[in-house]
Parts: sequence; C-alpha cells; structure tokens
Amino acid sequence: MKVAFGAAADLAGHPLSREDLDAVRRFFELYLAEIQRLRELDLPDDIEPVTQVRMEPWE
Amino acid sequence: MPDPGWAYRSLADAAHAIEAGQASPVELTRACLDRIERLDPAVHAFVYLDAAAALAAARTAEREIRGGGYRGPLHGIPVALKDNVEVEGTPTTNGSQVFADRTAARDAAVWQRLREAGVVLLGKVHMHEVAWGVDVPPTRNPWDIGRTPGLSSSGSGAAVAAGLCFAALGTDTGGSIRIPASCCGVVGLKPTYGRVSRFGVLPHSWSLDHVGPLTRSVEDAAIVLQAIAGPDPRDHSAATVPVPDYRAELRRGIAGVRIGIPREHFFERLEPGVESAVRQALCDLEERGARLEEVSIPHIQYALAAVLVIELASASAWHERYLRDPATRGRYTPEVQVLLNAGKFVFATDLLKAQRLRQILMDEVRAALRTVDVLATPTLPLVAWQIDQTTARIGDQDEHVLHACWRYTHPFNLTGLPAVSVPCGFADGMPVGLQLVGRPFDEAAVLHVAYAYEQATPWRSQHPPDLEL
Repeated sequence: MKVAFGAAADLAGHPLSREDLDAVRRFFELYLAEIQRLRELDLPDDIEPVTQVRMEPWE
Repeated sequence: MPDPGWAYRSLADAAHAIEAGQASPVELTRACLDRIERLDPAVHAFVYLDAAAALAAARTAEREIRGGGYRGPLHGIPVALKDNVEVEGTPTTNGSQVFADRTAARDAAVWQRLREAGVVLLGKVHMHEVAWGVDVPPTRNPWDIGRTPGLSSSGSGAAVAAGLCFAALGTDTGGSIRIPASCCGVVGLKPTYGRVSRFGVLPHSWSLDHVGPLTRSVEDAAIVLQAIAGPDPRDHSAATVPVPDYRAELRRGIAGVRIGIPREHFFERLEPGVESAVRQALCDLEERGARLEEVSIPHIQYALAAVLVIELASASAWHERYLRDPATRGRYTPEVQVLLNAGKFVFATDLLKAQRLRQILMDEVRAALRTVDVLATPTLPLVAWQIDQTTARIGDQDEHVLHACWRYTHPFNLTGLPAVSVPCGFADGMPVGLQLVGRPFDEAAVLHVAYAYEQATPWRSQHPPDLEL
C-alpha cells in the first residue's frame, strides 16, 4: 500500500515526503471502505453528475 | 451589568425593549462587553473584539432611534461574526495562521445587510482552522467548559450560549452551524443553498457552503434570516426567490403538519440519551397535532463518502495557492495539511460518482418531502464531547468523534435543503438538538415547526451554569 500510494502520488504530480504520504495513507484508511462502497454502487445510466448546484423551489 | 437578565434574553426581547425605549443599544452593548470581559477568558469565543467601535456603533444606533429612525428589530443589537466573514478593515483569519495577517478589503454581503439593519458588531468569534481543523485556543462549551462547543462555528455557538452576544453568524459545510447549536443548546439555522449570499465569506467547499444564524430562540433566527436572505448578483448561487415574512409565519400552530421520520440512517447508531430526547420531542410534536409519517431515503448510506470526496477535493482546490507558496504552506497545522494533501488524491471518477449520488439523494429527499412538510432527525448522534476526547462509544462501536458528529447533518449540505437545530432536552447533562429539514426555500416551514416545539417545551428557559470565574 505504501509503495503503491507513493507511486500514485508521483504519477499524479503531487510528490509528498514519506511522512506526508504516510499521514495521507492513514487518513484514507479511515474512509476507504466508505469510498469503495460508493465506487461499487451501480447507478442508472441516465443519472448525470451535479456539476453546478442551483436550487429552485419545488412546484 | 445594568440588568443581569439581559445575558440570556432573546434578541426579540431586546429589540422590543429598544423599540419601546426600555433599553438602549449602549446599555446592551456594555452588558455584552462586560460579560465578554468576565467570561471569555474561560470560554474563548472571541478572536477579535473592538469594544470602542462597538460602543461607537451603539451610540450611533441610539441617536438614530431617539431621532425617530428606528430601522427594525436588529437596530442596536450586539452581534458577532464567524472569523471567515469579511468586514472591511478588520482581521479575517479563517481560523488559521495562514491568514493571521490578513485584513479584509471588502465587506461580506451578510455583513453589509446586518450593518444596514443597524446591528452593533462586537467582533469576530473563533472557528476551527479553515472551517475544518483544530480550534486554537480551544473554544469551550458554556455548559461544561471541559467540553467542545462543536465545530466549526465553535465561537458562534459558545458566544450565543454564554450570553456574550444576541446572535452570531456561522457557516455550515457539513453541519458547522447545526453541530455547535446542538452542542451548546442554542438554535442554528442552515438556510437553503442560495438563500443567503456567500459573497465575502471565505470558501471551504463551494457547493456545500452555507451561511446562517445561531441564536437563543427560533424567532431570533427568523429575525436574522430576514435581514441576510435574498439575491446577490455577486454570488452566482444566490437565488432570486422572494423572501417571505418569516416572523409572520411562526405562530400558525402545527395541527395537521406532517413530519417525516426517515426510516434509514438517522436513528441507527446514536447515544441512548440522545435518542430518548429526540423520540420524546417527536411525541411532543405529535401531542400538539403534528402527524408523524415514516419516509425513506434509500441511498443515504452512501452520503458520507460523497460529501467527503466533494469536500476534500474542493477545499484542496481552493487552498492550492497557499499550499504552493512556501511562506504560507508551513502555517497550516499538521492536521489540516493532511486533509489538504488528501484532497489532491481524490480521483475525478470518484468525484463524478459522488456528484451522481448527489443527484440521486436530491431526487429521494424530494420524493420523501412530497408527502410530508418537514423531516425530523437528531442533529447529532452524541452530545458535546470532552475537549481532548477523540473517540466515543456509540452503540457497540468506538468511533472517532469527528466521524460521528456530522453523520446526520451532512446529507442536507449535499441536498441543499434548509435545516434547523432546536434544543430538545439533555443527555448526560449536555444539550441535545432536534433537526428539522424542509423543502428548498421553505425555511418558514422548519422555523414554524421549530417555534411550535420551542414554545411548548421548557428547554429555551434553561441556561448554562454560572460561568463566573
């Protein structure tokens, strides 16, 4: 995990120190299961991402 | 202090007294300043206080009112602003050393509107670093100064609860108005996304950020919202939806009002004392004529991942310029640096999935609110925790308090709906909040139900123990 994440950071153009990488890795370990569940969730094809929030009253 | 009773009186009471000539803005401002001087060394609510400017503003208000120029219920009322709200010529530190030397060059729209309404600005109140991280010095909960007032509008909640001001503004990205309101036993209103301009308020996560009031009563929240709501071309999200007379809507009674109780998520993992207080509140509402109905928001279980991904990516994007600059990068605390670094590793595919899930949630809450007028949930699954406490045992699990505390609030940042936290009792000697959520731009409905509940129960008359040093 450490090696893979460090490589990913380099690849993304956000190289971090070993210490910073470890801190980010520990943070994601807390939430990765939640994020993974969202990744695995199947949504209907026609649901588009909200790219701009503009609220309107409901009719 | 001219009248010790002013400390916990409502803004509406103070406004009535000012209008009737029974109290003066100078008297109220002096009472607040005196209380701040005596109590704030323990509470740590204020980060910036300008007593001379406050008294000057109070004298101006007094002169105007005596001259027949009464502007309305905020005229001459002492208030405080969260330290991410810009006031030209004053420090706006965003709770961070990164902005410690920053003096605002413009006025936030909300401050402009409050100023035009005639308020007296006492100063700025503490917040967690960039509305996210640590709180230095830690602001204390007036109900128990060993405990947190909640985050991130910590100073706003503590100052209102301690009677240091009559109202404060906070901001709410995942619950940061409602969480301190619940922890401190005050009212906190997150309006609909777009109801209140964020111009001049430092961003945290553009599509989740809201500005709103923390007050000692529901009517007070209605008074402040009345002043700050409305369109603003400088904030592209600010809607042009007409603003109703919120106070006029408060006293309608709740007979026949339909209250939706979500089947999923909101009652699944919370402290027993909190659950008991909230369920009693629902019974109280039912006894007064409201109809409770079960509703469903099936995808709510995925909301945490969605809000986290959106918040991380957005905050890192806004702070990027400060992270690039060696002069400012090192001024973030390590806790916030981790979060900002983490935001760089949110994949675009995850962000898009989160925003698609957001659409699903918006559709589901719309369906739920088709059959009911408001939703009711606990505001938090726990009461205010000890300042140095990092985990809490909730149900059969140990959980990080920061993970737990926003569980019931962040879904309504994702969906942009108006939500209020109103005190509904105590657990372990600490306040508990009831969250009421309404349809877009129907703040009147949540305030109306909250007001009916507040008037029917004794919680509003309970105040923190004597804080005298």
